Amino acid sequence: MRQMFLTLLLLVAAAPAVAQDAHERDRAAVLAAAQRLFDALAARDPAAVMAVVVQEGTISGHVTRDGTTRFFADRWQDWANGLREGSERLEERMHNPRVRIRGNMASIWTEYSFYRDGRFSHCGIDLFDMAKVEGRWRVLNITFTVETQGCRRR
Amino acid sequence: MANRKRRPSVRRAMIALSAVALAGCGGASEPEPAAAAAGPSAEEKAAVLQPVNAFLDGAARRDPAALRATIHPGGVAAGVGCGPTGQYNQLFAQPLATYVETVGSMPADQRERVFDPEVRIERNLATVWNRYEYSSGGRVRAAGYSSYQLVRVEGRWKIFNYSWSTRPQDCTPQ
Repeated sequence: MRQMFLTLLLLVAAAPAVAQDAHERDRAAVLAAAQRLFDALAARDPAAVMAVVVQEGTISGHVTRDGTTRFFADRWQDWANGLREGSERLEERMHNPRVRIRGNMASIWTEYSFYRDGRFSHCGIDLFDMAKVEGRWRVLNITFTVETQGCRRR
Repeated sequence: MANRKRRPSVRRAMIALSAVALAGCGGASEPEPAAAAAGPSAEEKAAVLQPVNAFLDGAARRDPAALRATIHPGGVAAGVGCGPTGQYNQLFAQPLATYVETVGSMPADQRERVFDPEVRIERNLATVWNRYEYSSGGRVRAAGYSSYQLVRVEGRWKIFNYSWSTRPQDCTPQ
């Protein structure tokens, strides 16, 4: 009886550790997919963008400049093609990402800062809708705010 | 006597550990930073949930016009899990504006129940995330989680993107 209890205790005690490991792996994979999108942005590489997104998804943002906010939305392919047009070096940095995973759906809510040619440009919040398709995490949608006031440069 | 005393404590320990195990299995969310934990006010949350509830009501009534009024065009509706041919680990996606026009063809007795909606708001951007159960013909046809991305345009919250997950047993060819 006592042995059974001990076995049960061990099993039950081990379960959170196993779940935690699986969650950590998924969390790392979700964040790696988001980072691949930032890398594709930095490389201005439309093909690399399309490889990490769900093509039917959207990129949208609320851009606040001079006190007015404008909402824009684009299909991934159109946005990716637009990357070819500029030559500035773009860098987006994630800060304190919060990841929520439920099965094959996940979301990331993160602060970010944005640099052009190494110079600080703006900050804001990124929200990613992530989908696991054929075993691989991809960015379904991203929506963000663009702030030029009250940013921390980091 | 000593034996009797120990048993309840072992049971209590097991219950406590089970609770930890359950929390470990279900707890894929991370703790919020202090500022975010305070969260939006009840009024702000209600304003964000209003179009989501109107969307669900409109779907229950199979009324495309009611759904149309809750969305901001340009976004996507995506089901993660079942693909269009019924396999799992796939994705079904179409413009949200197209999706809302299809509710008229849904079963008359369909019903979607949502549980524990979580609302996050950042300026003109908000999300609602909830567990759902979709049933018709007296049984659950799909279950999982829904995510709504909302935008505030001219002072009103509208649904921009809508995605949901399904289970392997929910897949049927369309």
